[in-house]
Amino acid sequence: MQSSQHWFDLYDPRLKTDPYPIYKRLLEEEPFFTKVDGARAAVFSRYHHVEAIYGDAALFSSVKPPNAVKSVDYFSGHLNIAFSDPPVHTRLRRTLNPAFMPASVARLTPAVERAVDDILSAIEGRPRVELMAEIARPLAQRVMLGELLQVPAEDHDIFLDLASALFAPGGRMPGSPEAVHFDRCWSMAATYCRRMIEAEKDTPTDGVLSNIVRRGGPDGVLTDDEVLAQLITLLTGGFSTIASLIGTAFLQIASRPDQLALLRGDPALATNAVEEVARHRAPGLFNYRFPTREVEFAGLTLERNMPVYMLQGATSFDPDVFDDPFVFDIRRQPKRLLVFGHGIHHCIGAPVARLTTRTVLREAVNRFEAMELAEPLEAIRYTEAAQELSPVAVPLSLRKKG
Amino acid sequence: MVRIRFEAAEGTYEVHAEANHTLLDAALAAGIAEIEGQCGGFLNCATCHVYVAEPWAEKVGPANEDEEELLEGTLEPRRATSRLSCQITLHEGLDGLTVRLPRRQS
Repeated sequence: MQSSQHWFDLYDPRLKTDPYPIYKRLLEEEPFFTKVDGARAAVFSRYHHVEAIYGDAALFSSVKPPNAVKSVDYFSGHLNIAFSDPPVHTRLRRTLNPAFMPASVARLTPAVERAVDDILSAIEGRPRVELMAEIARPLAQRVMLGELLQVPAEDHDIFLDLASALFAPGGRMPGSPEAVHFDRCWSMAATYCRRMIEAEKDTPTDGVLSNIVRRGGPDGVLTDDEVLAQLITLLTGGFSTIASLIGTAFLQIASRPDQLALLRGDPALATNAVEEVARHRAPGLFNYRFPTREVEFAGLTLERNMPVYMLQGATSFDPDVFDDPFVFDIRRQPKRLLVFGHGIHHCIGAPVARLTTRTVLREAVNRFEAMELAEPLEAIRYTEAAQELSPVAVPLSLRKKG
Repeated sequence: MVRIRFEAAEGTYEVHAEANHTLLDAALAAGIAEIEGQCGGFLNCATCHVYVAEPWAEKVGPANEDEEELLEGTLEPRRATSRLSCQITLHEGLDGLTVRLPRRQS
């Protein structure tokens, strides 16, 4: 079977505001070819197809061919673990793994609880807050930058500015104001990171940076440029995803009084609730790979280096895997999701995002007897970064217990 | 088919699995909630930790160097017979294999 070419807009804003009709349609239409940024591309959205693509790094490369997928080339060609294949990926990943293993994330729990306590205590007397600016982003920054990477609070802006420049929509044509701004932000962050690396070499710690600087594989420790790439990735890549997941979680739960009541009745459901939020509203909308040779896959003939897009959010609505997939129910027995990727590139920070989101959700339910969206769900706007589902602002009405 | 016994705190699962599949595949196919396998079996996440029952440890064999590194990061303590189930490929010689499950993986 050779599917026909379809018109499909990967940047359709409804994928953020109301994706369900699109996901329903995709169940009938996938797989197909379309054009993305003028280039012929394949689109997959069924669970087992996306699982297979993610799972075969030899056939589906993460390394971008020259000039491919320029619109989401956030790192402007700099080395980045997300866009690497083995053996480079293996070498980079093993230096990050120790900080994100289950035992390490468990050790982070008291610090996350303290951060949640501080941030909620500061706002708990107020009848209305803006969740993203006052809770989600400060919490994500404190956990990723402060607790995990030990960057002093007064220096966080260096990485917030770079992240904002990295994930800004649109291209960065050489000489454009966006490109100049990006280069300036990159340069400041790189200078700061080089100082962190030198300090770590002079006075070894037992933190995340220590592993990146010292942990060697069979082919030795990382070069300074590789260490820099790892640091920049951690310092910019993590907190926006955590903040997005927190924002989405409050949106999804606060707009469903029945689900909020369930969580209130059993705060231990917070872990399941975060899984259901991530299943229903994936923090990353899509990802892509490039076949390393021509291949027949799921009825399509994929050309070498053709962009292959995976709508990972859609995979959670595959009835082959999930019963009644369009029903949102925090009591659902969790199954393995593909929304944080799968395989060698499975999102290394996902356990930290889950921990932070369930901690703040559980504590908010404990502290506030009422928690409602202060604006209709339809009025919520999302950031323009193509791959990310992140609310711009989430106004919440709160009423403190007692 | 290979018979496997998963012993969890809340009960025991008796599972029949295909040879050449991994122990993780068998656990996920049987819906065993005590095994997560977040990364899908690619030696990345240490959330498919099992304790191989003593009589089977030798037949299952030791972890390799990469698995050893991840076993240092499991949530529940690593013991002498700890393995990651994604790294155990089933075969007829493992018929009757018994493993104990940690209460939590993450």
